Amino acid sequence: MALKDYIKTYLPLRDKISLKPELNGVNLLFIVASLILIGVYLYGVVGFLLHGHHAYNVSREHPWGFLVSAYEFFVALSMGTIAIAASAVFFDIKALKPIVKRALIFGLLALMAGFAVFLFEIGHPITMIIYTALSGHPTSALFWLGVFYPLTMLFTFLTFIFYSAGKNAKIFAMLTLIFANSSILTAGSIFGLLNNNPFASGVFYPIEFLLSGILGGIFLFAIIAKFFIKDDSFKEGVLYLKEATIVIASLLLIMYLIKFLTAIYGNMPGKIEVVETIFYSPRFWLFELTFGIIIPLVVAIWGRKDQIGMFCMASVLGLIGLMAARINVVEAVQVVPKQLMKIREYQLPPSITHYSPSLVEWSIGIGAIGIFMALLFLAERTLKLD
Amino acid sequence: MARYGMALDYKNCINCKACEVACKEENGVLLGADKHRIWVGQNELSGEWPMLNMSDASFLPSQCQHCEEAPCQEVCPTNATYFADGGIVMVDSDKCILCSYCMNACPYDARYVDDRTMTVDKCTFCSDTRLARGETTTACQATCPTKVRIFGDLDDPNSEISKVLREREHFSLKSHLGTKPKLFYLI
Repeated sequence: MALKDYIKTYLPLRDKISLKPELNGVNLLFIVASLILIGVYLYGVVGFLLHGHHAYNVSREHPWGFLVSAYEFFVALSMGTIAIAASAVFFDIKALKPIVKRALIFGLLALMAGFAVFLFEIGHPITMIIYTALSGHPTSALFWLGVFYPLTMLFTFLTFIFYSAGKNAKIFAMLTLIFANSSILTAGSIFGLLNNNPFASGVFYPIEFLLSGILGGIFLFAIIAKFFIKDDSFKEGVLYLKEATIVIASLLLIMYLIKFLTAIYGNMPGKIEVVETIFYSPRFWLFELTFGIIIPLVVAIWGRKDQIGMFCMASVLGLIGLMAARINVVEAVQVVPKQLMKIREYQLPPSITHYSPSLVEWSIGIGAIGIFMALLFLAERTLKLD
Repeated sequence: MARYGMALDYKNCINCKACEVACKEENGVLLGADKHRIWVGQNELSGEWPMLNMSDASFLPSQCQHCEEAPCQEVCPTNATYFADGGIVMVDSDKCILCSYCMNACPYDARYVDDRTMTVDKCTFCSDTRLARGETTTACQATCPTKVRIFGDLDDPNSEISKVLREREHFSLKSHLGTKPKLFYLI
């Protein structure tokens, strides 16, 4: 049996695999954009290989930089997309089924893009794999991410295979849903469990990550629907996505309002400085709030009910907003230097820690979108996803 | 088993920074890495001449607090940060992955990246240098001209540190976080 036939017994491979796409405008734009972004990514990787972590603008006061934000963005997007697709299988939501297979694979690939960033964010990735297995520490949120990601990937893949083969995939979908949600909650808990940080500690970030991750998944579903569904089979699905957007975006707005109102009302050191810094930033008002939540919410409420075009555009803006939200959360936990909160230490401490990503950081973080796009292209050309 | 801690008679500190120099020499801290492993915080005089507020002027030497409930140890995904004999919080550089989680979790800003190994490092109470050679003092303690620091076994009722903590009032930094730090500031 040829290798392709052997793989075909498990994976829904295309009958004719060819990497040559039809050269229409959209495909051409996609390929050119992918190549440019991969070039940008490689520039960053070379910068890292030449200078190591010194190529980054992180410091002792601000040890997490843009790469953590980019990684968190891809991971939340991935887990949100996978969670929605797994829900569609487990709860038998027929309206979403036309893009379940594609969403499962796209979710996995977004996770790969996240890993492509994390590989260069973490100082010693090989050591991480070895010692997370040999001497993993169960009190660490990062350790649990190392447990939940592989489980999510495994059950997502099994869901995809069984669902594609027309077999009952509900048990795998349920496990996928559980571990995908656990992953997002744990990713948020990395910030929420920083007990020394008055702004970050608590339930806000785990819940915010869960909601915004699923919102990101909805955005990716909308983009998939726009570009891959050419008939009317997803009209009801669009309604589902819009209704879910209204609920989740509204909840997020309420959470933000309460988080910021309590911080302003309490005027508590360590919190108020963060709120003031974020409030004065267009990255919060324009990108995180307007692009990420308000525009998708407005389009979901007032846009034409079953039309995907405008909602797709709002979803692209929404993803930009979600990236800004990840940058903001990483900054929020570090913007107040800890030495300021030490008692009577340091003369004239800086009131705010300043950080801006280096070119190498921008390149790796943004260039990873190119990795994601290239993987999408490969998946589209090799797998039956319709 | 011993439970090491340090008492600091911080009002005796004259900010000569001999402790920082001795620490760098003993533990091989790179030049330029100031206020990394140990440091002396300072408050300058406030007010304007001649109405200066002398009570504001103070020095506060500090370093890793070797917390009994160390947040840096709790968040470390690979157990690179661990409790060694005597309750000393140590870093196994072979296991450190430089995720920097400990740097963000430490409430005392006591961790830094060692540029030679590209792993996170911190004060070890000289346990892998002086104590390993059989000495009973840390470098910062041994060099201090005004005897600010008293290092010893908190579980030994006859140790100097136990005696001084029984006899004098003291406080810890950020004790409200429940970290149970083992640096005690004598009042």
